[in-house]
Parts: sequence; structure tokens; C-alpha cells
Amino acid sequence: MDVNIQQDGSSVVISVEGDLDFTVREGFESEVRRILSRATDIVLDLGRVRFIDSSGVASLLSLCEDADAVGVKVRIRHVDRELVEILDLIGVTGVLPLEE
Amino acid sequence: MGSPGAPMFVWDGIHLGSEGAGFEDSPPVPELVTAVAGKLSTILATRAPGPIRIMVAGFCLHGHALGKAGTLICGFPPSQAAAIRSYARGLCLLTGGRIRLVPHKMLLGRPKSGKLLLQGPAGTLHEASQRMAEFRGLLRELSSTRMGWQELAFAELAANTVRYGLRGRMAVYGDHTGLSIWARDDGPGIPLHLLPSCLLVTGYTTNQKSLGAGFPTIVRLANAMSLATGEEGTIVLIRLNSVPLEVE
Repeated sequence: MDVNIQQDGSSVVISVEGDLDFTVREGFESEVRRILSRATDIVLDLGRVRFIDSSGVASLLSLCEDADAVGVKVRIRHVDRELVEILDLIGVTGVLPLEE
Repeated sequence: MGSPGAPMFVWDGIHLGSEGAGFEDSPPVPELVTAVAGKLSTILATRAPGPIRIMVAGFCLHGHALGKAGTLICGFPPSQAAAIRSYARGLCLLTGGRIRLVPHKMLLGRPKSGKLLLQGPAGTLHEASQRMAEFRGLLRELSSTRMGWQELAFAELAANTVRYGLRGRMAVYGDHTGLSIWARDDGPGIPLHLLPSCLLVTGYTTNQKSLGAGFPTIVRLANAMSLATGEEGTIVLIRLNSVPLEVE
């Protein structure tokens, strides 16, 4: 999994590529948490994420909760149809801030 | 159907039925009370002393509420083995026959059918990551069709194996109709009174770092699931039917 971070002022776009699963959870969380202190608005671009499991979903939810606690807004965009099907099956589609 | 306005009993988020619902037709399986009595205490504590009948997972429990601190007395000799058999039967019925709770010895050998396609340690994150990569490679060999659900099931089992023990192992068996995934950990096991919630209720977890979605996801994906859990750890064997696979 690769994480690319682009910052424009206080807005940050985090582009993720690869598989967001239990094998990369800790690395992903430590990477994106560093951003929280220097952003007011975060966009998570999952357009290049091929696969996600419940550990990956837990990472996303954890990020959203931590961001909310410090007043940072998170949006998740470019979620592939197959990923949405997995999120539906896991039962978290309505919980994550997915953009249409 | 229960009579209108009959009390509805809910145990850990699972609907137990309503008083009066099908009591006459169901055979009494009072042993189940030993497995769920702790969770029924809240219900019982609010009831007046007297006979009580409660539906649990399709079974009718007959007993006598004593009306103090949730005490329930049932007219059967306590037998742990019989209770566990009844509990396993309830779980199987509750899930439409898809989940079987079995003794460890039944899951120690290889499945009755299928060729061994992959096996190895999966107790550490490094080991489980290796198995995950091997499984993805295997899926590419077996079918040109994307097998995302199989991948998801394997990932959830592997994550559990890492989470609950250091000496975990995984194996995959297959034939042309589908795959069987076997996972074993040496963790503390799942207490029987928590098992329905762990398996069926998304968000229920005993581990703070877990979303509590792993087992419910596996249950939704698996065509069949056998599970053994206790002091020896937990073993899970799931069957995933699929598009025809190129297993020789």
C-alpha cells in the first residue's frame, strides 16, 4: 500500500493505493494521524484502493473519530463499486463520510 | 405469533422472541438456560415469582422464576455436555444450519474433500501477511474471475488469527466447486455466552482495537462454517462455494 499526501494550505488530500487491510493497518494509521495536527480539511482519495477489509474500515473510522475530536473535517471520495459492496457487506456504508 | 402486546425479549441485540410465541409447539430444551442464564438475569429480575417460559433461538425454555435477583430454576439435572449440545443446536438453527459448533478434535484433521492448496503459520502479522499474499496469488491461479469475497473471508480470518494468538496457522483446501479455509489460533477462546454476539452482531467486540465486524462478515460470506472454541484456542473452517475453479 502506498500513501501520497498533498497539502494545499490547511486542506490535505491523502491518496491511497493498493490494499487497505490488516497487513497495513498500523502503518496507514500512523501515516495519516501525523496529518491531523496540520489540517482543517482532509480528503481521503480511495480511487486506487483495490481491496479493503474490516481492519481497513476500522482505520478509516478511527481517523474520522480522531479528526472529529479536533475539529477536522474528513471526506472519502472515489470509492470503487467493489469497495462499496464490501463496505455494504461489513455494514458500515452509512457510517463513513463517503462522497457521491 | 405472540399475542399482541406480549413482552419482547432481546439478548445482546438478538431477538429472542416474545412470550407466547409458539410455546405449545416447541419441545422444551431447558439445558439452554445454563448457557444464557447470565444474560437473562435482567429479564428475570423484573418478573414476579412463578412459572416462566422463554423462547431462545427457536427453543422453548421452561422454568420457574424465583423473583429475586434474576434467579431461574429449571427442572433438569445440570449437565454441561448436554447444555453445550443444546447450545450448539440452537446456534445452528439460528443461523439456518450454516454455523456448527463442534469439538476441537473434529477440526484438527483435513476436511473430507478438497486438495491442500496452501498452509503455514499465521500467528504473527508478518506470517499472516505472507499467507495473505500467497492466497492472493492462489486466487489468480485458480480463476480469471476476481474473487473478492474469498479474499475478504481470508483476510478476516487471518486478522483474527493474529489478534488472538502467536502460534496461529492457516490452510486452504479446494476443489473445482470452491474453497475451504481453515484457521487456528491459540488464544483464550470465545466464551459460549458471548459467541452469538461475536459471530452475529456487527460492532460487538471484546477487543478495543477491533471493529467487531470480522466474524459477522465471515458468517455472511461463508456457505458453511464449523467452529471449535475453548481453552485450546479457536479453530474455524469455512466453506466458500464459487465459480468453477481450476483445481487439478
